[in-house]
Amino acid sequence: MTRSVPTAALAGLAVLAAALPLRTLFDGPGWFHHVVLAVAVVVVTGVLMRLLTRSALVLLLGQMLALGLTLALDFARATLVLLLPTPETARAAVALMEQSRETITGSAAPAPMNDGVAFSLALVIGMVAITADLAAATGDAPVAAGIPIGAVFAVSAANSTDPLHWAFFVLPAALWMTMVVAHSRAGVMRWVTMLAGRSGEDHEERVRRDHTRQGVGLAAMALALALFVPGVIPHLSPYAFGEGLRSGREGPAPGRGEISLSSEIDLRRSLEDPDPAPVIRYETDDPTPPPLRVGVAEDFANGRASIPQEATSSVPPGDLAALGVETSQEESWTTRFVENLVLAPQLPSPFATVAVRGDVESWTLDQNGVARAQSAGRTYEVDYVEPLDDTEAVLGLIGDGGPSPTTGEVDPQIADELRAVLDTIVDPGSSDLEAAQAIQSYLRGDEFSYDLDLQPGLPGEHPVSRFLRTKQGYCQQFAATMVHLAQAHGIPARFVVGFLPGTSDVDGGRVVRAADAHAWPELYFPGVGWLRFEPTPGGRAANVPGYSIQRAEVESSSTSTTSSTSSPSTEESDPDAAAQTSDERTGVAWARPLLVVLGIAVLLGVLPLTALVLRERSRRREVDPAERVEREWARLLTELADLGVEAPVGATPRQSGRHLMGHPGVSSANAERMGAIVGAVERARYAPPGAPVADIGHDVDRVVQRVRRGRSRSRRVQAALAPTSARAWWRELPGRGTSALARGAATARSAAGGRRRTRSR
Amino acid sequence: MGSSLTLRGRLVLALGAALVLAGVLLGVPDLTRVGVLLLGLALIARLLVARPLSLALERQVSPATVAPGEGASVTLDLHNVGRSTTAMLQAEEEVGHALGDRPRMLVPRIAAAEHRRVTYPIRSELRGRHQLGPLTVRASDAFGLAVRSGRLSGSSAVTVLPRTVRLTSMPRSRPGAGGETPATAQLSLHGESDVGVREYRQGDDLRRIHWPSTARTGAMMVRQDDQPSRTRALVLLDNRAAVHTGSAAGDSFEWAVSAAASIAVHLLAEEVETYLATSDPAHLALAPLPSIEETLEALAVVQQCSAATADSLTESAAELGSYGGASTIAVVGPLSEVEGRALTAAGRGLALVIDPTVLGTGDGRSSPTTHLLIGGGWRALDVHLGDRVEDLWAELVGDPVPAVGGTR
Repeated sequence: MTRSVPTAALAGLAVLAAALPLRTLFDGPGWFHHVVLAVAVVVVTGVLMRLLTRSALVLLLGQMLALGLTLALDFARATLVLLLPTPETARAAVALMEQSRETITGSAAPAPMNDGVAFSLALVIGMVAITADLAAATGDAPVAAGIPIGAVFAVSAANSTDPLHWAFFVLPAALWMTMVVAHSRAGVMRWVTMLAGRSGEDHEERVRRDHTRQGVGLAAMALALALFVPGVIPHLSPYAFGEGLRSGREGPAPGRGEISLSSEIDLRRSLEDPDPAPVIRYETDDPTPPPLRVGVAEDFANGRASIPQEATSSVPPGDLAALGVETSQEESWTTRFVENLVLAPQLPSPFATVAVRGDVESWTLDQNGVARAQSAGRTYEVDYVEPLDDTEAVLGLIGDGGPSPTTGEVDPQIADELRAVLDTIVDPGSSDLEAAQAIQSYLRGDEFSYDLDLQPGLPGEHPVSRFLRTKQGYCQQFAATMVHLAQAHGIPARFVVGFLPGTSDVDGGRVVRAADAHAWPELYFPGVGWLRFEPTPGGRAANVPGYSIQRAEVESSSTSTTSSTSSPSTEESDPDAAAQTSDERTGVAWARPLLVVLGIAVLLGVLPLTALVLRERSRRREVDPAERVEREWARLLTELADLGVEAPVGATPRQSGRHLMGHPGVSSANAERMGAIVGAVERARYAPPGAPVADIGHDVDRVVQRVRRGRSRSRRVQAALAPTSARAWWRELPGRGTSALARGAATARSAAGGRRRTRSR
Repeated sequence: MGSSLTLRGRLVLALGAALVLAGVLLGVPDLTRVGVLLLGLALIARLLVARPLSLALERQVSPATVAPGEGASVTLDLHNVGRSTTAMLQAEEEVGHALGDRPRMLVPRIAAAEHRRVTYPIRSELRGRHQLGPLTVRASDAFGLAVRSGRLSGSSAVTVLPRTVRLTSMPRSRPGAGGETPATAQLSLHGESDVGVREYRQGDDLRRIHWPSTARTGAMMVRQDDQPSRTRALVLLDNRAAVHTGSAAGDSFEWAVSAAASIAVHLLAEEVETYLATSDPAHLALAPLPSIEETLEALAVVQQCSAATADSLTESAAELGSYGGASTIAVVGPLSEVEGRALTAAGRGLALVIDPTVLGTGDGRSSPTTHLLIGGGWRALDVHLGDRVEDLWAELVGDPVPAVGGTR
């Protein structure tokens, strides 16, 4: 019973080690001590219970009870009465699960850490530890315990976009291998009744050391392979396989599933989606179409935008003032959506929508200008007017207007930090618009870089603080931070998600792909209303409105603004370009192993080909029958020697024949042919010149063939890949190369001499 | 026997291949990594055991002959005759059933030209020549994923001698033990120069070679007329399978062997020229037993035979009788009337009769064979379960039962 203790402990440690990379998926290490506690309880319960019982079922139930009680004590101690769970405990567990579900489905990695997430992690990993313990210690099958351990690791591997750090792999793998080796060693030590060794040695110690040393060596080699090989194996794109499946599926829109943008995680997933299939296809008479809005977040929960699915208010269509658009451009535009895969109730539409027609059911507009529909078909038309975007007009109108709408409060946790940032970037005495311009300019500056992978945050760090510290992120972070900074400066601001205007299609329409998903801020200025800003730098952003650029910059950047607005397709084709490069890279990655394989094939082929060429050459050379017999005899001896059947050196043909027939590898079925061969060789050597000599080529072939069939596979492969004749030819090549002329003469002489000698014997 | 992956190894290999495939198809290098680790483990383990085992084995048993229940030790010397260090080996010695569990040994790695020695004890209560070896050797990797097994042929044996008991008295026919009787006349062979033969010993006069015996036995025999004063005895052991019952240590055959061995040893110790014959027609020709040790070794390997009749026994008795006679001590099963008469006709003697129909009874009823032999002038006793050899012997050689018709 106690012999399973080290195994159980190792299994528990391996589960914990496999869980470590989960920290890349969550913000902060706040969950790890809960998980350690859960796993430790499982292991200790298992060890103690195994002293009493070997029943897997009893152990399983006991460990699950212990785990449940531990989690209850850890997360919902208040609900316990005399350490016994109450209905309150169950409710608390359900609430925690619900919280974790919301967090995990609603946030992009790294997801924020809260009690719910910690609880679910402790529960899930605790259950995995029970499974591993069941396999390794109770079931005495530590190899099988690798499956739950690997599953935990696979969760992290499958959910992170980049390969995990190698240490995350090495640690659980090493622990698992230690467990297997220790188990195997224990098995051997139980099997054995006697130990061998040299005198004066501690035999048991010696055996243990040998076993461990071999295990460590084997594990190290396998680990090295595991670290190196995946880097040179070409992998399909993470989406290729799924797409292959998807394209085989019958559906109205082959190649593209429906999407929605109701959470951060949707946004991130869409941004990473390389699928070139369109999400939205539309035609518009607007020469510079604005981004399409899908949702607006006014509130931030712990720095993360929460995008309501349901409308909280409704405004009558056409009432621009109710939408917070005090002054708009005069023209009205119409966009006709010919394909829309965004799930209802979300209805992608430009700001500010005035009317929606077509294949939609009961559409509404909320005060944020977000259009929703109970259900939406693939085609509909939207009429809209755009807010002012002419810089001069905006500047002229700003300042006098009605009361500003109220938006969310700045999180007090980061208020001071935001204040400090604003102090450094906004000149005292500047107007709200100038402040907004300064914020956008700061975020678009060189300090910040666009990156879909976020650096891990510090424990308890606010996402906005992290972004301000690491200065790395994508539209979501840029937009959210601008909203926070604007609100901190007293400018009403909101966070909008939707899609970039997309790229021009060949037929004049426009195509929006999943990777065009975008987030941007809108700020309210009395007298004008809500204005779009664009703090996200680089290609994955919409054009920068002229009013949002600081005056000093306007002159220089207005050209770029106009150019980008006139042909947005150039800057927005970046995702496509990126996809193309990655395709090319895959192509190259396939080519290299192919070359390696070809190279190996060529190397392997050199010796057999040499042997073949040599044999053919000697066959083709015109020789008299006696010499042909000699040559065939020599061939028989070489080929049999290659197969491991060697004739004694310097023996007569008869002795050699007898010796070969006596070899266990040569069956007696060959006796007749061997007799014929030996007879022919003897006649060729000793009969008077001109006597008829049989051709033994066929017999030699048959004997070699028969012997080959009886030899082990490794022998046959060795004989085929590295024939002696070919090896000898290559070995002698340098010598031959030194003086080709002398060699030629010598060959001729020795051939002639050899012939004479064989005859005169 | 070759090398192969164990079940565990095959599972690991399959799992690894599946994971590599999944990793490549799904584009998750971390999954591929796990797969490569498993694949690598299985394949490297397989490679580790791919080399044939180049081992030579020497086996020594000391002592090679033991009394029942007495221990001996077997020393195995494993030499690595290959050019590379062996893996750690698990060795299992195949031993005869009577020696109990097979010894299992763990042999640490042996460097080239090195050797390892392991000694294991053996012990058996059962008479016989028990085989030791061959040795089965398994080389395995530390993970238990692949294994190569081989057999180091060659075996030796340990001989467990039959159980003997110490007997005290001698048949009354021994010279000096009692008065001259007709029976003793047959045991004393004064002056009969043409009867005794013994194996040739170095220094014997070539002229004394007894050619008929030499031709018959295949070994050089010489006449032994120079030791006329020695008495002779023939011990008959009926080893027909058909007449014995029981199995292993408790069976009647083992009892008979033990009785014959005890008697033969006792006679040899008293310097009686003793002959041994069995009912196996293939049994070697009659020759004086050379020594106690060789007698016991011969009896250690006596097996039951398939002969249907006891003709070999009667022929041996007749043969020795024709050379001048000997006192016969027979441990026999049921004899037919013809066989019984043939035996008594060859001379006088003593018999322990093991008749399965009487063996289990305790009522003192005597078997037909006993009757027959007693009728022929022998002294004969039926053996019953639980009888001790020494008791029966004492009864057999002690004061003659009046019914037997002793002349005292």
